[in-house]
Amino acid sequence: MADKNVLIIGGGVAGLSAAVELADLDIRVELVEKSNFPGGHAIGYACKAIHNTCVRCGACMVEEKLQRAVSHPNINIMTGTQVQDIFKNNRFSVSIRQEPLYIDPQKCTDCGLCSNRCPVDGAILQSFSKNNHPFYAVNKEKCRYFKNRSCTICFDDCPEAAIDLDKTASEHVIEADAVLIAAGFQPFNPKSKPYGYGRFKNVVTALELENILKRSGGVKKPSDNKLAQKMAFIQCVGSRDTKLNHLWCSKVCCGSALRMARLIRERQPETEVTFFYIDVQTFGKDFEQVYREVREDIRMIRAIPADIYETEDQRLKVNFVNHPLHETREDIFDLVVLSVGITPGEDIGTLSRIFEVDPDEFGFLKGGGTGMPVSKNGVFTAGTVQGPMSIPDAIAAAGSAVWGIIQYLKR
Amino acid sequence: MTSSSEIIDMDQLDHTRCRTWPFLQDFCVTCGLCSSACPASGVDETDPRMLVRMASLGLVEDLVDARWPWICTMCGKCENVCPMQIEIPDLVRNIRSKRDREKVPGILHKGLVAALETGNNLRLPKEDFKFIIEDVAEEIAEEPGFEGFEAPIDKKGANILTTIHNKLVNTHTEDLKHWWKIFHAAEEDWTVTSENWEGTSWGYFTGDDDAMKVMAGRIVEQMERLEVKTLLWPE
Amino acid sequence: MNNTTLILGNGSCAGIVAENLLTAGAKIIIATKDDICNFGGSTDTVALQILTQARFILCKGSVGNFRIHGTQKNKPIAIDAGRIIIAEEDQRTPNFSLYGLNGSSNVITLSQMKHLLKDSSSEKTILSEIKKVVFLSGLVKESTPIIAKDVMLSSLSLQKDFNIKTYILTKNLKVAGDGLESLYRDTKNAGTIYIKFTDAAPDIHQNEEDPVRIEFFDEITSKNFRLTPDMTVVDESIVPSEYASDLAKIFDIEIDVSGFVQADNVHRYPVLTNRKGIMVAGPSRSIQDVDDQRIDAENAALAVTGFSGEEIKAKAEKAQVHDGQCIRCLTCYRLCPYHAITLNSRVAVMPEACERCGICAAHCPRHAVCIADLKPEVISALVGTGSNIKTQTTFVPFIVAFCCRRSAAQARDLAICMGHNLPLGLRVVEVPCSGALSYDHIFGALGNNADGVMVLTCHKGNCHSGQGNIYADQTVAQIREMFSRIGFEKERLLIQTLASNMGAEFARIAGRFEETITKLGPSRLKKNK
Repeated sequence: MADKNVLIIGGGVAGLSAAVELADLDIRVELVEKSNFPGGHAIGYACKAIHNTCVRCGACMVEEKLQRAVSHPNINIMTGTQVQDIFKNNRFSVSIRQEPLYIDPQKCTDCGLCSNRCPVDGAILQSFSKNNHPFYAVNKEKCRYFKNRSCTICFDDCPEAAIDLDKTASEHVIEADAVLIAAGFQPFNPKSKPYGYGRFKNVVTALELENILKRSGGVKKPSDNKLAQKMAFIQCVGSRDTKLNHLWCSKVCCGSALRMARLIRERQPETEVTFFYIDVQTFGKDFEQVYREVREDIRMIRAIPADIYETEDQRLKVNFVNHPLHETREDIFDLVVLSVGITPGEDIGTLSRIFEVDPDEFGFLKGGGTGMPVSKNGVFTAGTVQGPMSIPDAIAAAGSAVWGIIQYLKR
Repeated sequence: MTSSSEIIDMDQLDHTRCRTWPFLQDFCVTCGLCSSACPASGVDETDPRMLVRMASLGLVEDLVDARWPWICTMCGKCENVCPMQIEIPDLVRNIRSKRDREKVPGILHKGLVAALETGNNLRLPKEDFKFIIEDVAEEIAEEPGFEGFEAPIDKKGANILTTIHNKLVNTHTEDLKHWWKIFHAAEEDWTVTSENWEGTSWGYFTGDDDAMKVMAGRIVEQMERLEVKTLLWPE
Repeated sequence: MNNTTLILGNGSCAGIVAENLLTAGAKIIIATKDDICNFGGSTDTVALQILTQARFILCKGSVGNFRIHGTQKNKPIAIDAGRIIIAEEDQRTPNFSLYGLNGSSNVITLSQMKHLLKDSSSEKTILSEIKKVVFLSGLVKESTPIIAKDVMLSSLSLQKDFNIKTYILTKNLKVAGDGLESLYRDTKNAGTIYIKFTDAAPDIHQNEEDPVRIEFFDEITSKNFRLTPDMTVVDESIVPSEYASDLAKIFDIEIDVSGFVQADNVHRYPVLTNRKGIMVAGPSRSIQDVDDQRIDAENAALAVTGFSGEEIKAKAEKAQVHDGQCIRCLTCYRLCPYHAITLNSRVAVMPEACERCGICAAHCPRHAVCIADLKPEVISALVGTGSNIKTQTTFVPFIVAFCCRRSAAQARDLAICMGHNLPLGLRVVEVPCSGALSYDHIFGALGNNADGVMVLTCHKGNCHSGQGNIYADQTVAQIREMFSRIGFEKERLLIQTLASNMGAEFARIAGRFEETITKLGPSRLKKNK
């Protein structure tokens, strides 16, 4: 099927998996990724192996899919790119807009000098994967050049002259025979919860903790970079919540948090961990044993805290009912991790309008049945854009979508 | 309340007893957020989550006889955090409403009866009330900057009608002065009423909707009588 | 190369696989041990062949050329297929004994309850007599969303359609499935009462004369309660079928801790096995609901399609047996995780199945089987002699790191990208699997002036070859033990597991090893001092 072309929207694990499967079958793939770095959220997740043993979280799988995708001759990845609109005849003509690549991938050697010399925190972004090239990207929102042209340090200092801050965005039209929407999810923003997120430095989300673990291998407090001695995980933040119209369980957070807890306990045995939950969800094929071990290793409290206040030294006072007692308790933690839920991707509204696919009652774009596109027009979905799912499930969903795409292309 | 050693036959309970209560208590997932937020959790070894479950199970007598629903201040922190949007303060109030009135704790019901009979919780006669108001107003008028200050009573066509908490004409008369002075400085056109001036509606506290209606109705009557459009009810 | 796919199974997953492959124009054979095949395709075409009462005992060959021996209706058969898909069903075993109960007319399994609810005649008989039903689920062993769904659906039906009071007793309610939180809410709306336990469990009594009596302390209300249900429903454990377990042995496929026919290894996701050309889909490989099974079936069909265009790589890159040396000890045959060795008149490697892990070569006592570019002398040349390390006033250790290409080698690339400093004298040598490392490789490095050798493997359970890292671990342990006895510093040889995305850890491990070696000083084995 070398004459066929598929457009994949989203470069997370589902999009990358699908791209590789299609490309292996000699189908050309155009993959558009909104951010600077394909890999989705999961590329920023840490390996959570303990006792030298894999815990099957799937984080390394994302790395593998990314590596295969960036090096595959049949796959073209466009970063900083979003879909604007489509025209459909019997093919899709998709107009896309690509933000400028300020760092030229042909010239860049990933030396990191720009990042080292940049005077503004966060103006040069760093990827999580060496399969992202360039490993760095310019963040227009923070960069001084884009405010008032007052700084050109990266441009001046780059030994390969790879940086051009004057590049402009470009628009193209991509022709495709089928489209796969793998635009991922949005982690719930817990600002509205009484936990001080966004105000208290040492309250982070579970995804942010993944990133911390991935970059540094240990848990340091954001406030002072010292090791956290007492940590708490609060589960179900933004899930199982009718007030937010999030009447679902996000499925993966119990596994993610408990695996991180075990990893932290192995790396930093002096760190105490408390886990606040409603119902622990099963994860992995050896859950029975893992659950038994973790219950002996960390404190598990079957109640969700309601208030967090900050102490003078940026520690956190957490109020919770001390289940199974009826009284409340206030404990002080160095770091609180909020297991935020998987919510519909922020681009679903736009994509559902452009591709004429309707979100379900909760705002996700579900797939169709066997070999059936989600709409009748050759538009497919895969991954967390469909709803909460784990990394292995996203890979399987991608395979399922690819099967449907192939049948559709053959008709 | 049942003693701790007693075993209750759960399947003999009628779990539908509270199903007509519109507070969504059956949707509880026992997350504990309400109990974590509640300042009264632990008093009498009770917390809001327990209350919600007892309602779901139909343990109405235990709920009505318990002290805890009266310890609750109905602050609403529980409902604020509940992910199932259970209306716990209203649930508590409903439990309160089921008690025989003679068993309502403290002076709450007695005060309410007084208010229904006399227009205020203290049974303070009208003349005594007016005397206190005028007396306090005179004290204000003696202060520099407040020369000529008067407290309007039954002023027709005023902009604001304000109710009064009974303690302000009993033990805390000084506290009347704070907001009267604000009215004066703002050159507000305000009034109190000589009758049915009571702002503390203990029908709300004791779950007595009928009494609440009566007291609210009386205030509305005053507003209509005095042709005042705005009500300031600081209770 | 044979283009037929053999599908083993008779349930919905097997059916979807069959349907998908037929639609795609493939040739399939469906074989089931059952008397009747549930797949209703037309067998008029040459594309579909159905075998009932089929049982298999032996599989030879490799991808593209399997020959599977067995019996069909008790007569011996041999099937030629290019691909095999194992899509057998699972089974549900009742958990009566976990709860101290015996099955009876009023203590039944979840499957029996489901059956009752489907059977409209029972409405008039059994269910009409019942007022209270208790479900026991996940009170000893944790439950799963699939069981939880069945429990909740049954409860919902009993409440709504039969006006029966239901109670669900569980520990952790499993709602990690599509629609389960909504279903949970619906059951509560219908009147279901949930009792959740954390550490304690209810007391369950069953006598001949008395009905079942359940007593417990309710954690939320701190009160003691009793339930005397008219019917008690006990949950079930979902386990692989015995036949699936047999198939794992017959086809030499890795199984997981519960006996499901797929190693619990991320490299197998979603439907692969350790054998190229043999896929496993549906309840044979894990606990799955209907949607999971459909997705698995589609992935299996895709995997079949995917292989069809594959070319067999040149033999020189795969393992090869040199007949003159081979003494038929069968070590390679036993160790090969991919079942790529055949034993005919000569021991030979099937190149299409060989994945170049090198485990055979590392353990062959006669160096009869080897992979050309992984021979110790070839690797030794890659290692070099550290002569490129500029002499400094202080000792710069020459450290050789044998890195599995799937994990440690990538972690090292990431470490560099992240800007971590790596030891000056570090030389990384990539191997396709750490299982390819033999004594010769490691001694070779030390003989080449290495002051220290690191063997960096994938985590246990993450090795693509299943056990390559375990073998490497054993080899290193043996060598270190030997070093201790002969007075050579065993600290000069390190083994550590890593994943591809662990850049920071790679740098940390390398840095600490450099410190260790620096303290130990240059190796006594060094030729040029």
